[in-house]
Amino acid sequence: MEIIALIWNTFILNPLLNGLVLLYAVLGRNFGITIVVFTIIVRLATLPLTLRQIRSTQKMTRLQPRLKAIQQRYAKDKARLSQETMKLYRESGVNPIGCLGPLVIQFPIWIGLYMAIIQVLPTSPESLAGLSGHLYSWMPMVNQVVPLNSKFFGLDLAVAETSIVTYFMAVLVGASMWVMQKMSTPLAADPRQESTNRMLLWMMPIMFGFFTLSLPAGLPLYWLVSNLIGIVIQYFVTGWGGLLRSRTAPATVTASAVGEASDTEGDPSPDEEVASDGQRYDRDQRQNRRGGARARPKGARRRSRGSRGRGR
Amino acid sequence: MTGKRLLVLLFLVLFLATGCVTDRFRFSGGWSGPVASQDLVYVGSRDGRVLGLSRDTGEIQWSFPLPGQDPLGGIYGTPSYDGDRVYVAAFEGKIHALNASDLTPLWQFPLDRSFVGRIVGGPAVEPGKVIFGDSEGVVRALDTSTGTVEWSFKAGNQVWSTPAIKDGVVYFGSLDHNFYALSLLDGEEEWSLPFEAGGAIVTSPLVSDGKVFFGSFDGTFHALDIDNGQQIWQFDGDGWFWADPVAVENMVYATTTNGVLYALDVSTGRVRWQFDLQRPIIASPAVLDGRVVVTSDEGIVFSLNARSGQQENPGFDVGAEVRADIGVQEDTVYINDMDRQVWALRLVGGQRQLWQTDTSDR
Repeated sequence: MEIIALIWNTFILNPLLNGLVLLYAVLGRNFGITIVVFTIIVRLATLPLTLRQIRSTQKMTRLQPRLKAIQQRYAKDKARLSQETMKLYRESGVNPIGCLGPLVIQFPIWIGLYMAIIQVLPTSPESLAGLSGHLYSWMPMVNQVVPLNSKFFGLDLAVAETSIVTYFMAVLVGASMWVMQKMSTPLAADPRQESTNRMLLWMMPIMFGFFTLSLPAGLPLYWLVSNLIGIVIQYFVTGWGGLLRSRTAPATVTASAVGEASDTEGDPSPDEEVASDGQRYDRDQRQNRRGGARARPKGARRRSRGSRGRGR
Repeated sequence: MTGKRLLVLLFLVLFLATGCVTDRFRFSGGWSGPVASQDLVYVGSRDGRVLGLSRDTGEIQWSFPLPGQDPLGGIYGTPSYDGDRVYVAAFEGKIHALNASDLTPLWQFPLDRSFVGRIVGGPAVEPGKVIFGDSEGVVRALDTSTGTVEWSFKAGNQVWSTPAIKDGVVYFGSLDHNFYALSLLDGEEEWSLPFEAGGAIVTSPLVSDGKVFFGSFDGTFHALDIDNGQQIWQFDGDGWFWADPVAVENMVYATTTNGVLYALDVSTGRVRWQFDLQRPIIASPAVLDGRVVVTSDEGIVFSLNARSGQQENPGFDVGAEVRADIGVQEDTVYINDMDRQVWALRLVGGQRQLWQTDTSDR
């Protein structure tokens, strides 16, 4: 356990803690601004991972019709289904758990930031007593500024207060998280997956809003700024994405088209089938990005007509 | 496992994690040093009670609040004893005046349920006045007979240091880096400007030989002229000065959170000797018959020759962290460790344990 604590302190907690204190010293001794700048730095440092996550999500979204087709074709052969699914992932260059990377990176930062906040902001002597051992002796500046001033726009960043500002903060954290999730949640062809996505879309913001009320305000401030930056990044990569997309439109329609096509047009090879639907879906997505909300109903109508025609 | 079950599980895990982490915000019960009278040893327990232990046997004689009643919360400062009364500062923001003979309450400040700020340092007592600082940066003087406020002074940040009183002047440091001198009479500042150190000040100052001594978090230890607050000398140490300094003859002893005890010349601030305990020192050392008694987070109590720094015995291991100030009465040393044990030790002429008492609420 001591080795784990040593590794944690050396590589996570101490750099975070000293970095925060150093930023505080050079940013006019305002811990709120320190957290904002720190969040920007963290977001910039993890930007390549974030972009990879977004692209991975996009690819996954595009694969949904093909996955659906595979699921339908091999519904009774689980081994083959798994084999074909993995093959599709491999051929498409998609890692199904690749989107977890930034999240995994963020967790130690959250925990480290939480620990750093309780150590540098003096809520009790215990929280301050262990701090000196974490500060770098070769950075004398850090010893001169602790303990840090925790006040920021009516918030005490060191404690979980019950005040109107905290409730407002909880709403902001929840709302920003909802928007970010709504923008980035991939379309799911599987109704169960879609149902889970919908639940997560509401569950996570509510949970983090709740945590905002029970954790020191410094951490929710980090979440809020991080969410806002995430929204900006997401916008520049995918546009408003799911925020302006009707919930059931393209993927469901495409999936039903796949189902009807395979039922009525003999037995095209699975590869041909999913490829054509994948191309159609890609085109629809491009149109969606260009035209936003206006283009979607047209696309949906056109494809509905097409599928009806083929079905006759 | 279905998606819904997974979500419920995730929520529960995060909820429990939140509970665990928020628990870290609660104080652990404090670390109150013991103080002894002729018959009793007074100490704040880590369960939030002021206890009166028999000096001879360590048996708990009195308790405030009584067992079964709600405890005070946490107690960090050493209680003050003035012969008739014991004064205790509770972290929840209350000062309690208790009858020294049986710890029955006389008064408390504030009288009602109002909150004045958390109190970390102990109360300082002079005839007629109790002085203490709080986490709102306010230093107050209370009337010892009634507990009413006689004057108050607002510092720039929290005041954790127990004030020192000498010749009608109150000395204390603040987390705002400033060191103040106030008139005991009316709370007016004695110096034209407070002395500004390079870091936060939590040590209780030591007044001796026309100087006032204290350390700071920036690793500097200062000697000021008590008349005007001008610095006479400064010593640069390694680590934070947290514990209160003590003095013997012409030496002042100061410890750091890096685990070093420095013996400094009172006149020049030069290091005469130093002793490395290698673990953070939060507990204030004590002087006993030409010896300096010091301990650390490791829990080994050392007795050192005050002149030479020579270690006189192997050190008594109490087996737990010690952060509370060391208490001394005659030839006995009293330790209140973080494991809720109070120890009475004899360290002169060979070390031995007199008694050990478990102060936890059972």
